Amino acid sequence: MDSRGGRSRAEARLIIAGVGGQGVVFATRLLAHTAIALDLPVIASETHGMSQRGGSVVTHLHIGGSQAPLIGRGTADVLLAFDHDEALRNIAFLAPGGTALINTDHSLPQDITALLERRGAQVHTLHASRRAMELGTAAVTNVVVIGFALGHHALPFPLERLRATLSDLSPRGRETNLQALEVGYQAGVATARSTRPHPGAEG
Amino acid sequence: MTEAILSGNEAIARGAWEAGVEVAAAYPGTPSTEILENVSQYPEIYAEWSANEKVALDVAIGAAYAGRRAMAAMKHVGLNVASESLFYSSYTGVNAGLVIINADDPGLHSSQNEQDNRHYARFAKVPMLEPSDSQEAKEMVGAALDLSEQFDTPVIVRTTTRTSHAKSVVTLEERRVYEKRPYEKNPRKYVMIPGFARQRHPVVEERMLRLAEYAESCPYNRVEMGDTALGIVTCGPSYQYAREVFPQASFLKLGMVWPLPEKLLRDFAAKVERLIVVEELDPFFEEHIRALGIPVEGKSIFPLVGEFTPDVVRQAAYVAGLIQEPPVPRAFDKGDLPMRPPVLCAGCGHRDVFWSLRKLKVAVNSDIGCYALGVMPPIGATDTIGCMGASIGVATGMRRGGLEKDNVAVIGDSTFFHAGLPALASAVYNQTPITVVIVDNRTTGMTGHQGNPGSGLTLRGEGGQRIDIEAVVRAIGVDHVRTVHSNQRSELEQALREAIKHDAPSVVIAETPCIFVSAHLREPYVVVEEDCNGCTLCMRIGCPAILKSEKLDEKSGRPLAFIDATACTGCGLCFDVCARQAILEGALKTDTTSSVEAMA
Repeated sequence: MDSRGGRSRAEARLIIAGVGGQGVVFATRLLAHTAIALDLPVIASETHGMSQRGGSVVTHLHIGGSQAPLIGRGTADVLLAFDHDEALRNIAFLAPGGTALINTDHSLPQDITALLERRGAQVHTLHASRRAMELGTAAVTNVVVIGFALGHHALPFPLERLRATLSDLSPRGRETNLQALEVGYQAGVATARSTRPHPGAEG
Repeated sequence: MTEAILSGNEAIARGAWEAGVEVAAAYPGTPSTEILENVSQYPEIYAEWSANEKVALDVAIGAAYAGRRAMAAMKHVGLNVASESLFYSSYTGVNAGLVIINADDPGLHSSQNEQDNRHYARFAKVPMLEPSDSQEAKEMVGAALDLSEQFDTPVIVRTTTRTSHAKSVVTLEERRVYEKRPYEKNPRKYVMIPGFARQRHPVVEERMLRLAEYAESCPYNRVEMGDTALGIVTCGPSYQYAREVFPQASFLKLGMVWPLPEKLLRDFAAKVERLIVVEELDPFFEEHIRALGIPVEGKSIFPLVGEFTPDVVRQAAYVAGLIQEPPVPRAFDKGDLPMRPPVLCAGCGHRDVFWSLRKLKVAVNSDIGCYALGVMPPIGATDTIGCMGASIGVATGMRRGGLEKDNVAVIGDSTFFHAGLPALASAVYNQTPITVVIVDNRTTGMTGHQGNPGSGLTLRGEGGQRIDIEAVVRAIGVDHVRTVHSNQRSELEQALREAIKHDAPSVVIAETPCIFVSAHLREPYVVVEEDCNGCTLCMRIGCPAILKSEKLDEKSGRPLAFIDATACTGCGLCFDVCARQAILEGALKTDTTSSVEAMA
C-alpha cells in the first residue's frame, strides 16, 4: 500500500460541481471508489430529479469523516468545478484554507478572488475542456480536473491509486481517460510549482 | 466480508434480495425509481413496473397473501394513490412478509408537495422504520419483513430524497431463502366486508399495542448519551446533521418512527436538562412527546418547511442560541449567475405541442411528467397542474364550471395509463365536450425512461404487450380521435383546432418521441449569419440549443442567434418559426431509423 495516502485516516470534504453531461456523477464515483480502496469511510450525495441535460449538478463527497450526506457552507476542503458559473454558485462551500480547482477559460470576478484570498483559500484555474478536446473528446474534462487537483496535492490520494480506480471504472475509453488524468496532473504540478504549496499538501 | 458503495435505493434493492423477497412491484417516481431498477438485476425476484402505485401495492399484497415475501416501492405521493390498499392491508395483515418502501421528498426536488408520510403509519396503524444511511436502508428491509411476519402487518420503510440518493458503504451478505408459506383460504381475514372488517379492527389495535412494546427494545432506537445539558430526538438524515451541529449533545435516534417508544422517550427526557426534536417537515415526534406531557421544543427552533441541510440546522440552532457559531453566510457566493432551471430538452416534441396550444390561446390543464415544463417561460402555455391524472378531471370541471375560453387536457402516455383512463371514461360517459391531448413519447421520460403499457417494454426491458393508446381511446367511446406526429406542425395545429371545435369528447394523440429513446431525424440546424437580424423570434420557443451569438447585427446591434450543434437534435421548430428564413435546415439523416419509424 502506498505510503502517502495508503493508511492515512485523511478526511476530506469535497464539492464537485458542473452541468448535466459533464460527468460530475462519474467523477464522484471515481473518487468514492478510490477512497473505499483505501479503506476510508465515504458518503456521496448527488442531485437528481429534474436536473436534465444542461442543468446544474452538484455532489457532496465526504471522505473519512461523518456520514452526513450534505456538507455545510464554509467547510469543504476542495471544490472541483467543471464550469465557471457552477464554481461561483458553489464557492461558499469552500472552507478557509480550502482549494478550488476550476475548469474555465476566463478568470474569476475580482471581488470573488479577493474574498477567497482573505479567507486563505486557493483557487487554481485550468482550461480543462480545451485539454480534453485536444485528447479528442470534451467528455474527459472531469478527469483532467481531477488530475489537476492531484497535481496540486488537493486530494487525499496518490496519483497511482486514482489511476488504478480509473482503469477499473472505465473499460471503454480507458486510454483516453488515463491520458486525461496525466495531462491534468502535469498541468497541476506545473502551476503548483509556481504558487506557494498548500499546507499539508503531502497529507 | 464484501463491501460496496451503494445509494440508499440500491441498498434497499440489495436488502430485498438478501431478505428473500420474491415479488416486487412499483411505479417510477423520484426519489424512489432506482429501487425497482436495481431489483430487476436479481433473477430470483419477479419484478414489475405496474401501471400505478395502487396496482403495485395490490400486487405485493397478493404475493404476500400467497406466501412469498414481497415489496412495493413508491414516492411519497405514490402512497396517496396506493393509500386505499395500505389501509385494507393493515386490516387483513399478511401471510409472508410485506414491506412498503416510501420515499419522501423534503425540499420538493421533483414533486408537487412535501408531505410527511410518517403520518401514514399512524393513520393506517402500521409500523414504520426510517434509515439514516445506506447500511441501515439495506438492513431495515429485512427487519421490516421479519416484523411483518411476526406481527402480521405490512411495514413501511420511509426514506427521504437524501437517504435514497446518497451513496455510502454497505456490507453485503448472502441471500436468505425462506420456505413459501402455504396460503389458506380465510375470508374472515382476507375479505374486508363490514362484518369481517369489524372483527379485524380490534386485532389491529391490539397489534399496535404490542408493536409499541416492541419499539421500546427495537435495536434501531438508539440512545447515545453525551452531555446531558441538551437531549436531541431525531431520525433519518437529520440525525447526521444534528450530530455535526451538536457534537457534544445526547441523542435518541429513532429508527422505528412509528409506533413510538413511550418509556424510552420518558427515560431519555428525564436524563437531559433540555429536550429538543430535530425532524424534517412536520412536528411528528414533537407533538407525540408533548402529548405525553413531556416539555419539548422542535418547530419553535427548526423550520417546518423544506429540506434540512447542515446549514439549515446550524442557522436555526444559532438563532435559538443553542450554538455560538453561525453558518457561513450565503452572501459569499456572489455574482450575477444565470439560473439553470429545468427546461424541455432541445428537440423535445412536447415543445411543438405547447407552441401550437399557445397559438390557439386555449387554457391548458396539464399533468405530471416532462411536459409539466410547458409552464416555463418563454412558452408558458400551462394553466393548471395538480397530480397524476388530474388534467382530464380538472379540464372536465373547468368546462362544466363555465370557463370563458376553450381548454384542453394534456397528459403523457405513462400518466394516461396511471390515472387518466378513469377520468376519460367519466368524460365520455357524461359526454363532456373536452379535448384531451395525449403526448405520447413512448416512455416514462421524467424519471429516466422506464417502460410503460404504452411502450410495452417491461422492467427488464423485455417485450411485454404494448397497449395501443388509440385503440383504447376508441374503445372507451371517443369518436373523434386524431393521431399526429408532433413534427408535422401544421397538421398538429389543424388536428387540435378541429378537436377543440368538436362538441363531444375528443382526443388528439401527439406522437412526441423522446429524443433519448429514438433516433434524431436531421443533422443540426445552422443560423445563416447574413440573414439573421437578432429578432429573437426563435428564442421564444425556449430551446436550450439556441443561444445568443457573440456577433451582433450591424443595424440593430442585437446579438445574432446561434445554434449549439452539440445540443441540436434537428427537430426544426426554430426553422418553422423564423420569419427571415435565416436558419438552414439540417440534412436528413440517412443511416438511422427515423424517429417516426422508431415510433411504429
